[in-house]
Amino acid sequence: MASVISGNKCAWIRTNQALGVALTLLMLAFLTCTLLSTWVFKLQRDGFPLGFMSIAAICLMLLMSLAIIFDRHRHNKAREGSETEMAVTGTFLAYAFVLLTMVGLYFIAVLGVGFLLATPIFLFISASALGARPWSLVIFFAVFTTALISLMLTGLGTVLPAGVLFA
Amino acid sequence: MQYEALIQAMGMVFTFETVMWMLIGSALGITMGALPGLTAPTAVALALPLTFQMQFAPALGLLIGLYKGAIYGGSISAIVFSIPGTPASAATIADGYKLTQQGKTLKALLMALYASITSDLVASLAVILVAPAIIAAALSFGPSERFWLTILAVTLIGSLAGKHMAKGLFSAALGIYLATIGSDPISGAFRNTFGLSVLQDGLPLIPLVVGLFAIGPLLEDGIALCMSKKRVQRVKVVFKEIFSSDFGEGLTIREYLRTWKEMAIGTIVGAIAGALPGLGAAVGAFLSYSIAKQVSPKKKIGTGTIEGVAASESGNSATVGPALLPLLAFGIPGSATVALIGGALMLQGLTPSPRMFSLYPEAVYSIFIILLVTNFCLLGIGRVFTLFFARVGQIPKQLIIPAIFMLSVIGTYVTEYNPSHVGLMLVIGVIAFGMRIFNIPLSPLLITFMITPVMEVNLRQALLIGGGDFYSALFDSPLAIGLIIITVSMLLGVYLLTRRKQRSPGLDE
Repeated sequence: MASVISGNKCAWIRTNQALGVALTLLMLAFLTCTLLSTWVFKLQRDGFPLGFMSIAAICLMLLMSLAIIFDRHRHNKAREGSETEMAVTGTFLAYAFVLLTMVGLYFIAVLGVGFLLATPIFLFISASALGARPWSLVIFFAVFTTALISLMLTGLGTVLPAGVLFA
Repeated sequence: MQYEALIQAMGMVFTFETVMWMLIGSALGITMGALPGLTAPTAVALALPLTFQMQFAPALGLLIGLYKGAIYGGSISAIVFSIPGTPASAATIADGYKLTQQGKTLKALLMALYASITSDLVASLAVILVAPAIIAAALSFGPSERFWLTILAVTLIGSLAGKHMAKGLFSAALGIYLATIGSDPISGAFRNTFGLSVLQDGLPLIPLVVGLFAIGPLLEDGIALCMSKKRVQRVKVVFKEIFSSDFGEGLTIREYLRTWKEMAIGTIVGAIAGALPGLGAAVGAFLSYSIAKQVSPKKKIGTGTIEGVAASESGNSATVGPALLPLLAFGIPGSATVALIGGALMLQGLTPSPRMFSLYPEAVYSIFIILLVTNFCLLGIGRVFTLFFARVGQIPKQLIIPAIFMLSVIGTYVTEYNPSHVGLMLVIGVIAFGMRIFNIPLSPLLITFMITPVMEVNLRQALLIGGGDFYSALFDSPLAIGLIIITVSMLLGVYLLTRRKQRSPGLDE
């Protein structure tokens, strides 16, 4: 199914309407799970149901998802107006996964080997992977930034993870 | 006026530590504002974990310095590179970049600096004069009135964020849901914890804000870099250019005084835009620019004039002080950055509300004094380092992105040394990333997250007072009915305005 956006055709799956349908299904599932929870209808001391605000919020999200399906922006690209407007492809999502994994691994490394060891390595690898050159300046950036942040945080009385270096 | 509290506040603010943090905040704020892609909320979100370790006045000095610095810093990138450093500085490009093309970069930068500080100073003074009266009026609001005021704020913030009203309100509703995670504010019973002990105290603020405003945007920028064909960039060339200087003629006093009308328009429009929840600096800047252009057609604003720079920069900087007014008077943050400042106050043990003025007057006076003094810090740093900051904006994203990721992780972890907070930050970062790629605004989520506890407590208090009867609890007071009418009118008004804007594109945030 194709939709017209300012004279350009766009696959339906990339429109706000498709986004609205996906969000509606998600919110319906979410509402169902929440309503089936044991705590939702428990009355508090003031007679107020414990799940009132949560259900109200989910219902409002459901209402807005339905509005997205039917409002005048429904045929527009869902990503229209976003800063990069890149298409969400497999490669796009793969890069997101890789970046998140790198950040997660960095944190595990900080807990394991300490801030002073893990941080320059992380900065060097990620800056190089993102394309910064030459290598010598990237190494300088990694070491300089680590030292600067370490001094700043230590000056504030923050204890940074020491890891194996200073254990 | 409580003179003892005022003197105590001056004692808290005029210390070496507080002034030092105001200077650091201003410098960092200008730097982050000058870097395209890093906004005022990102700068404040990254600094928020640091304030946990600090005393009240230095913490507020740092954050308000960051806020003001970032608002001004966005104009540097707009003027020098034709890239808005922050959304609010987009209006400055029209005249600012044209002045750069005419070889008058320094003139444009100095005009932006002086216009920002002038309007900010005047607007902050107005807030200080008006705030006590508004706070006194706020004390007469009962629970039902406060409940409807929060509904009005949520409606305004959700409907005004971005072009697509439904997406803005979706984000606001998501913020309400996230605020219900943890324990019931009155009974303490757990809800929405999904069996996780880390959520029993609610969603912690720092992982939320860092995940929303740092991880989410950075993921998108990082992916854009990874997918770019011209990814590899020689950093050496960029560093050499940072220390060169060739920016043309400066600004004379006569030229500065010539722009008095544009600065006045910017100050008034910006102050009103700042005080109303949901409007913000970008609306202030564009509105001021449009009005100044129409009021003085002979000055040819838009062709590369300092009057154009003065109008837009005054409009965006004048929003800063007044944006704190709804927070101090009602406990309702009007923008994402103010919500973060509200979060900082809570980390310091102070809950923003009308009672804050009577319970902690020295804290409120400290905020007022910091609002004024930070302008002078900004003037000093901006005047001396304007050219340097202009060059710093060239530091490539290949270096900035890893540094900010690192700061996000460490900043989140060292707040409470809880590893699960970093995990939460990454999860929220993924949600924020998803919202960004589908153009669902983030600011309403954070603001409603902060407002929801106030909304819920006041709703339940109103129901208790009304004996459980919804009508007498929520619809019996003329003020409450008035607020309901204003809410519905605003919603309709915004809907009709956006329909008109679709036919004639103009203001945009």
